[in-house]
Amino acid sequence: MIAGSSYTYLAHLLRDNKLSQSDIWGHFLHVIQTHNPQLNAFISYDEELSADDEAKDTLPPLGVKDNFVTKQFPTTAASKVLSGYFSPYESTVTSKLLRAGAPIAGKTNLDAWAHGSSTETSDFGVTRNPYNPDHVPGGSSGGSAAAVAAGLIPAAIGTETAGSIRLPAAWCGVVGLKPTYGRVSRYGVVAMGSSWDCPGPITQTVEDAALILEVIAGMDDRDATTLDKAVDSYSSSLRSKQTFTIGYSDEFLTDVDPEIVAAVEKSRKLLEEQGHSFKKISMMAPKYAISVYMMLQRSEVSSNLARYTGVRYGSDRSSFGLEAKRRMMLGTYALSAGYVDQLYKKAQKVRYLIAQDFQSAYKDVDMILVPTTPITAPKIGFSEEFSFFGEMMDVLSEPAAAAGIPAISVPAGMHSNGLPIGVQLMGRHFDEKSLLKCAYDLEQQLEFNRLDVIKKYTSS
Amino acid sequence: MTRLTHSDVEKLAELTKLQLSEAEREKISHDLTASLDYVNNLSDVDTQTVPETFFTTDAVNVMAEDEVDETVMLTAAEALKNASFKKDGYFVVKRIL
Repeated sequence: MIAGSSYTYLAHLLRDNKLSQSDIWGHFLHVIQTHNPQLNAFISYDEELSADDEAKDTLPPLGVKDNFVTKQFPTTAASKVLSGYFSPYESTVTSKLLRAGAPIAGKTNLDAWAHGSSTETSDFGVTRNPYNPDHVPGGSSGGSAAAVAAGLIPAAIGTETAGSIRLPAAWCGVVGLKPTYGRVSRYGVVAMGSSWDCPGPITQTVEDAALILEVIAGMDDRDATTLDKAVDSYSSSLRSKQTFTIGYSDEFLTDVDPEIVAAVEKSRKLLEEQGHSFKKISMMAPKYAISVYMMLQRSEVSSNLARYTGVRYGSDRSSFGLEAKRRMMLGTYALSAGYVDQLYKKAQKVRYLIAQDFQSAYKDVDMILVPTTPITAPKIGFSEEFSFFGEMMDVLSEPAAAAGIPAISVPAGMHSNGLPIGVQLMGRHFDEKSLLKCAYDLEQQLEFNRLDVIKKYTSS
Repeated sequence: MTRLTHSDVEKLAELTKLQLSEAEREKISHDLTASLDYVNNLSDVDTQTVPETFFTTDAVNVMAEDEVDETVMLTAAEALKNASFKKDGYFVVKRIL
């Protein structure tokens, strides 16, 4: 009953007293203990769940990416620099989850500092893709995606700067929602690209993503970039009858695996059958978003990682890995006198044009359907051939990240290589409601089988 | 094409307070050059009339009341608990003067 049940369904069982939290945790703890040594999805977990005694409700446990500070677990950001660090305060997202009655079961693996798209840069070792352990799960929220896909935990939280929720969700066959920038508080998230970072859910179903977004979204006095916009009742509007005009763009199909393009086509047909209409639009080529991201994110990284001096916490700067060094140095270069206009400011201006490009598209369409990734999950080690692997893999998620708009990746089928394919819908600022509703329609028609892989990890 | 020289990389390492092995210096020099080469594509995009903006949502500046919020205060012990070097309730840092 528990294995393969969605987070929402488990929440119902808990509420109706058909299952207790200890029944649920007994199951997941056993699966974690049995399979985490191979998958390496969790960096830390407790055998006993600790709940907030003052919470009125009880929700199933979640995994949280190890770049949210928590009092209950050490916070590592998957870097040795923070080894032994115990935060004296709690992030807003984890506070909200605890207050809503959802215990944090453990902290999931990621690329060190969330720098990467494979979890290979983690100082705690690579996470394995549950579909094929020789392949990466994607990243940077790879531990969260792999844990949910393999059924180690019924849902998890990730963070995205440009693709770090959607890409691992696509490569692991789960749902990944990057909310609008400013929809979910960044307070207590280890800062990476501060003008991009967005926490969001990684789940088995769209409904689970809707439910969890309701818990974690909202304005927060401790993050001045959150906005005072009403948090809709996302989960209750999923089954409403509503149709949308959806854009599709050839620019997002360039250099994409033909089987992934076919999955997008199939998704389009299924949505059309549901009454949604499609309109071809022309968008700015995503390759410019790679450059925008590379310059702005590196610049923000060079500033954010300057605080790790080993004085207040953590070890000194000799413990940084290659990827963090590469990023800080490129960011420092982009911000240095003589280059700041040509690189940093130029990239900011192109970012503005990317945002404008979406704004004008949304005059004609409500959302846009495109692939999440150009290829399926590659083998471990493949990334070493690239000077900037993540940027190339995240090419189709970077435009939405640059524009600060919400986007959701949904599993859309299996590639002939045995790995899952994801398609994504990109929506208007703060319109997660329409995005989730449409993604729900698509999910119902696609009937992606998420249970086979879960069975593989629960049968022994 | 911008090629980063050995001394460019040394300078960046110094500014970021990072120490590099010989292998890292070579690798980073190569990768940063490749990255800068790629971002040259931004020059395809005409930005002459684009304003200097640094934000994607319509957020405006927020001012906090000048009041003490005790819920976000740390005690000295909490603030110091992760520090490797401390003395008499203070962080110990390298002498700078």
